Amino acid sequence: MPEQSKLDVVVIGAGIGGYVAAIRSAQLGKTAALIEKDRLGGTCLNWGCIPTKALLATADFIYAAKRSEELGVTLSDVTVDISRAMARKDAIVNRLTEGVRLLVKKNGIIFIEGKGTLLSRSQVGVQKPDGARETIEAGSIVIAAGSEEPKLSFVEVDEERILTSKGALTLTEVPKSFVVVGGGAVGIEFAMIFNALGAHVRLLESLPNLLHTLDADIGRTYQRVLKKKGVEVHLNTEVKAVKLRSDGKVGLKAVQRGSALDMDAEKVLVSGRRSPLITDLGLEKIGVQVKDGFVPVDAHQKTSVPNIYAVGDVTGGKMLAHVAMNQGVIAAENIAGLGSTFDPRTVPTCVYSQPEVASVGLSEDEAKEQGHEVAVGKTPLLASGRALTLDETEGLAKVVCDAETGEILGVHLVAPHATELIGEATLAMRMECTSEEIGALLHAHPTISEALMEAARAISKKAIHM
Amino acid sequence: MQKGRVIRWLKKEGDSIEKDNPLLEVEADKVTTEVESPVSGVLLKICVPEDTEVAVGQPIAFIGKIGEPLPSINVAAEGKATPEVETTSTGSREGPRTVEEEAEKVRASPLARALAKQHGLDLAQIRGTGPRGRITKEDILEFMELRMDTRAVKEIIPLKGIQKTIAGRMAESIRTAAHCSMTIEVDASRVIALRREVNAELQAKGEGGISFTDILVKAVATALTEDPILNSTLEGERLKVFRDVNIGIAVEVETEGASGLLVPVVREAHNKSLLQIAREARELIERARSGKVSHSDLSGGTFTITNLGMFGVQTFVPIINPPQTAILGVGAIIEKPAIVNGNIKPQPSLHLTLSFDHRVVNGARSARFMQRLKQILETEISEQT
Repeated sequence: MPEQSKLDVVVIGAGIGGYVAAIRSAQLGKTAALIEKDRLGGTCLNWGCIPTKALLATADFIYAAKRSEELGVTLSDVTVDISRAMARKDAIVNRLTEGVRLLVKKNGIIFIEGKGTLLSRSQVGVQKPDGARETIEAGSIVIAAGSEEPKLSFVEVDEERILTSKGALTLTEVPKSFVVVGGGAVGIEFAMIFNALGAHVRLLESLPNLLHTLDADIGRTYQRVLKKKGVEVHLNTEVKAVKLRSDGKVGLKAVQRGSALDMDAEKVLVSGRRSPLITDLGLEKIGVQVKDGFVPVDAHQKTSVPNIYAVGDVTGGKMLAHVAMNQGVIAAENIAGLGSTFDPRTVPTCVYSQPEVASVGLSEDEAKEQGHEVAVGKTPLLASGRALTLDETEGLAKVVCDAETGEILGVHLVAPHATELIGEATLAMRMECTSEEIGALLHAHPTISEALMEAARAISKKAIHM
Repeated sequence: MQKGRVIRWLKKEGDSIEKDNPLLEVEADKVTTEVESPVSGVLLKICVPEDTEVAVGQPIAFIGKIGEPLPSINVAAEGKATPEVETTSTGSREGPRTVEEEAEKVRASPLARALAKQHGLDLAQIRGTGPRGRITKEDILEFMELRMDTRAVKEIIPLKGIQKTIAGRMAESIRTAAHCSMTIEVDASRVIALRREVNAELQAKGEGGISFTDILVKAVATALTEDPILNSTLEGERLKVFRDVNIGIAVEVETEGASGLLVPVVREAHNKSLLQIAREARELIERARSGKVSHSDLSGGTFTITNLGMFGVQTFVPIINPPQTAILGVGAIIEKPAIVNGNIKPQPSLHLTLSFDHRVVNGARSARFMQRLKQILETEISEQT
């Protein structure tokens, strides 16, 4: 263990951005400390990406069981044991956080449990759970404090009946009725989990489209997907109030296109944009600029104070685990003088519902707004042999290009394994391929990836199967 | 060297050839060279017809055993002699690499390539900032921004042959030599008188006259014999100082409708009389201007003189003719008021500017050379020196 009094790097927050920054720093020969007030692994490992994906695997299994007869398999007595599903989820989370703990240890990083606060531009104070205080001195500081569940004005969350994603992950029973407020990635994933588990699910979205940050074709496709699965989707529906009622249910007051829409449910899940956890870090006191509740950074992840870096959710932008991880690497490399930069143009967004959604780059509308003359290639999954064999034909592949240069501006997928397939599109964009390269590349047959190839070929009117 | 021209094949297809015997003549960088066969065998195929330009590395012929099958390789077939074989049955173009094929070798993203093609950019000209120097879209956009040129273009003149060579050599000179220049003023009275006298005699005999350049060649040769440090070439970390003074004279020539520059060489100028120098120089310049100059006329120079005096230019700073160490720029002789013993009197004044490679020689030694040159021209030069 390195001498604690004067370290190279101290990282506040041991989520995916923070622990990665610490490990990368150690790899680069730096002495590093990692401070965490809650659980190692942060939101992603404990209350986000990983546990939801564990439950979605259960949902996928249930969906498969439901159409087993069509595939020639008769299953009897398909019952769901939510406690087993939750226990499996917890085991996965524990295994992964233990893995991270070992990695941190192996890399010689000092792990400190406690709440970190900036005392000066080179000092971080830690308040430990037992009340003890410690001051750590370091040449560089990385703010990776993450974010918390969204704070919504119209609702008081009790995490028992009115839930955020955190509470929904600890339910021990499947509610009969479940209302999801917010049609983003979190809302859709939980709508799908509880739909598969057997709840009657209603999804309320204030905007005219689901997954509104993504291409409009994805939202339209997903509306159809959810409807087929039996989820009631209410678009243009603004929730005004969510209240616990005396009968034990949760009452919702909403407005849909000007008319009142009231409903009740056993459980309500509210989702929305998460809030960065920066208020009591002491940032402004030492001169780190804070804007609209976020810490602005440059492409090197530097804040307004040269030796203080910030990564992940605290920086705003896309609050995604892989963004935080990438930024953690970049911050560490810049501290070591390597001069890495974050490229916000090739950040994939994934939704792990069934079928999966994955998207990278600009939507068709964004591309037009930015002044591109746009060329679009689309393939419905109905045209894919692989989708037919999987019995999963709902979906599409869409490629948005600049008509003049062929530059790939965005790729949008609703398809089985879309979250894996988006890697091809992300690499293509990062390497500055044009639609010609994806279209000319041979793709294994039969695969879902052929749909991406065909969409790319459709840009230059060369699609074979359409 | 990146390109050469096959001038003449010294063997025919089917002829036997021994290793190290002359196979063909190639012209490169203005110089014609005989190329010897690297192996013994039979000249199976000539791929490049005579008087055809080829890129370095391109196969020009196959030598092997009789009946040996030729490798299937795209052979050069561009040129006046065989224009009908420009395409093969597969439609692929034969011949030297095109600009696009050259661009294929540059590391660039597909999008960067598409953009370069759209805007007619040469990728080889663009600096890549991606991994391992890969050219990205950003690099292309930055290049175009820098290149943004709104001036109306009257015509575009592609550099050819000799001009390309000159461009390359001049840039190479500036890149490699530590250029330093100095100018000295010379009283040209003696030079003028000498020329007048000699030319009167020659005219009486019906012979061509001598030029100021000829007189300077003689004077420089004398000065270089006394201190030969500037009669040299730097090769890596060794300075090669030459015994003979071979002085090149820069001559403007017309080639392919454009102005070019050749430097024919007066060999062993230090061993020749002024009249010999004048005769030789006249013949060399004549051959250069009429395009009949030979390889040996242009090679072996150890120092260069360039004279722009006939245009009225008084001083200019020439660029060293690589790999030489120095060059002398000669200006016009202008009548000027000079103060001699407190009196103003007219004096023909000549400015000489020496550009020298400061890696090789320092300023003081160069200055002494110029001082000596001035002395020779003002007090010593004669028909007999």
